Amino acid sequence: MHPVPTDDQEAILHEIRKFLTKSVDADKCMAWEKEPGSAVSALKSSVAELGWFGYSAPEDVGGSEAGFVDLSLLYEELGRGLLPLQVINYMRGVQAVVDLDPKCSLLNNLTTAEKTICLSFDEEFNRLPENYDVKIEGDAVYGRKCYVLNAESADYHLVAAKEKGGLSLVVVENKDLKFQPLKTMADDSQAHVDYSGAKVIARLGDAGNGKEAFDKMWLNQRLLALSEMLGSMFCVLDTTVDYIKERWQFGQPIALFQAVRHQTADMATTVTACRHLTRQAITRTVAGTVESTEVLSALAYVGQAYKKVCWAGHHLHGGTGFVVEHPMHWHSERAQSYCIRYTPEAPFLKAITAKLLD
Amino acid sequence: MQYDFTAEQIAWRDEVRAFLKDNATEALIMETLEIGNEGKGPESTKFMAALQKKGWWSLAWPKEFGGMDRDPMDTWIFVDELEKAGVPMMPLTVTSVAPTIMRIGTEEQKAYWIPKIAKGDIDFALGYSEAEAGTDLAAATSKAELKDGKWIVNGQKMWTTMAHMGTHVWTIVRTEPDEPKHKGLSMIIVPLDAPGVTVTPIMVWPGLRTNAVFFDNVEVPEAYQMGQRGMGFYYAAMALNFERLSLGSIAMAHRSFKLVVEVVKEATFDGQALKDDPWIRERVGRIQMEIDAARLMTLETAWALQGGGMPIAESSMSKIYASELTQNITDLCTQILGMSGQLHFSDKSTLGQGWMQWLYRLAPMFAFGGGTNEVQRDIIGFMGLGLPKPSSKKLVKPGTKS
Repeated sequence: MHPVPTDDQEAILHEIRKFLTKSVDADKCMAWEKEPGSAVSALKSSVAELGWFGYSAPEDVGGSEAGFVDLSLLYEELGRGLLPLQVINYMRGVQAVVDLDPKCSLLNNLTTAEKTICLSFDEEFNRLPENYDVKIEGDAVYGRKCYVLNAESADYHLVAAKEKGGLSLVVVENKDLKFQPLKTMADDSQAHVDYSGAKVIARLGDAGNGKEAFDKMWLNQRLLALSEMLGSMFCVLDTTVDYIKERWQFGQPIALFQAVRHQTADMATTVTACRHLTRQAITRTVAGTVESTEVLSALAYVGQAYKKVCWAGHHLHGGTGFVVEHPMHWHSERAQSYCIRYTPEAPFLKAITAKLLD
Repeated sequence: MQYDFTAEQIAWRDEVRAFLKDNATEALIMETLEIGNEGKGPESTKFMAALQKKGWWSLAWPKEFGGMDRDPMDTWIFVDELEKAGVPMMPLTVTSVAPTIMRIGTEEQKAYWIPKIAKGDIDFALGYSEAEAGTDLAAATSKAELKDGKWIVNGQKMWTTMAHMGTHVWTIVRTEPDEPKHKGLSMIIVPLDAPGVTVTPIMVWPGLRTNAVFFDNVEVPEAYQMGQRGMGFYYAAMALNFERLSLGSIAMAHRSFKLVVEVVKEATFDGQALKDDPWIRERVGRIQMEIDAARLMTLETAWALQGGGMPIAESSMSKIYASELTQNITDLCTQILGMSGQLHFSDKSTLGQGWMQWLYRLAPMFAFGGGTNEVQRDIIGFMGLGLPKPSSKKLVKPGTKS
């Protein structure tokens, strides 16, 4: 067992952190929020230069061929450094293509960020692929997908839809699609999308045979979400510890009050539990050594814990952390948005229980 | 012992409900979400005028000041119904500042300020906190010096909600620099249009505006200093005590929860009715159970006030319980609503009117605002349980040598 990054990994993480500290700060985030798309314009080319879009893609399609554990450590830093969600979601799009078909020719342009792709899976009242209503008929997609991140700005949409009684994964161009933009908590450029005969330009896997590949890809998306959440928690904890040492009330730093120290200690304990659960889930998934509830426990626990850590951070910062210029709210927004999208507690608790009882 | 409302209280509740049925319009509710329940927009101005017309503006004021002299239980019922309806809360000018002026003001000050407040001509922003004096209010450094019959005010106040819409700021400033810190503050009213006052916006997470207010050699008439000099800290505490009835209210979260329950009754996700999901059923039941407990805690505060008591520890318990419960309710309900739970209230697709997403962002403030929950827990310890007060002095264990 070696539950911390190796020295080589630490060295890479240091460089990633350096870039993010230099490129992302609260003032920039505020400005990017006011002008949709500006974060992507500001960061896309430098992130592409660093090779992050194709971090785990094969070299012959422009990737860096990093392993999934290294990829997850990159995502920890993205969460810690608050890389704007629009950029992260484009990276996630490329990763999904890599997971589904690492030889896909579209990757040549996706890894360099000349083209971008978004993931179009959820439907208004359906999240499980077996219940999807959106269909592929002939070589065209019909129906309405919902809560699609970067839907309006992405060049391509990776759509999961019903075909031949099974699930297919196809790519369509962002051409003549109808959008209903959404105003969301994390301000993360979501929209409902109507595909009325959008032409399929690429297939990732065989028609009607994509369920297994989809599940594996979606599990990877969830695991990367855990990593982002963990990195964000590291940041919230560090920021809070710094703040309570600086903030004086009643003639002393508030860090000297037992009630404050205890809350910070609880935050640290929770983050430690999340660190172990997340990194175990990822490394054992990669190694193929998952025995029982390791992954399920991480998926059920980390998201809920993330919200609690953020709320404790908010609480201990008081008004200072409540203003829009302070980064704390971006962490809190991501906490609930990520829980809802990637790690809703209920299905994983049910799955854990089923493993134990059924 | 009984927990039921009396017949008169039920009749009063029904009267308030009937009024709200006509006046709590969809436009008003949306405006409240946009600008907050302390905000002042066209719809809330109309609503407040309707309350004034009914005489409910000064519901709890004594008759000698033109009020209705309603007791704390009636006031609790009124506040509860307002919050449940999702309409703006009564301005703190009416519920907190005016009752304080009635207690501490001279006859001239009462005669000058109270009728203007009653007519709605005066609207106060509260200027207590400063950048370095939040929970530790007595550390305030904004100051006022009396020169030639005028107070010259200098300094800065933070979190002065309503300063961009009010007419005056009700503020504590240091007037007795040589006195110990709690005894060196006085309560002064500063007109917001006085030369030297600058109001700058501070935007907070739920999208609401509060303010920083700067005083730069602001001249204020001597008569605008209220009560005794050096008593400002205690007057601020008195004004906060008048807010105790609404401090631990769970009504807003309760209202939002009921909207989510309606969604749960109808909605189907992935082919399964939400109401048939055991995870959701357990959580809905748990939330209702906790709301029931929270409501009783605030009711006890009203009941104790009714009997002439000052239920400080009880209202602290209420405040802690309700603020932390509100966080849990918003968290759980946002998850119950699934992907729709992340939608803003202005989005057409939202389920449950989007209140939960808004409350989720507002909820942390309930725990650190209005006296942090840590301070409230200390209050319960020493005022409710008789525990020794926290002290910085080195203590000697009884029976041991010093």
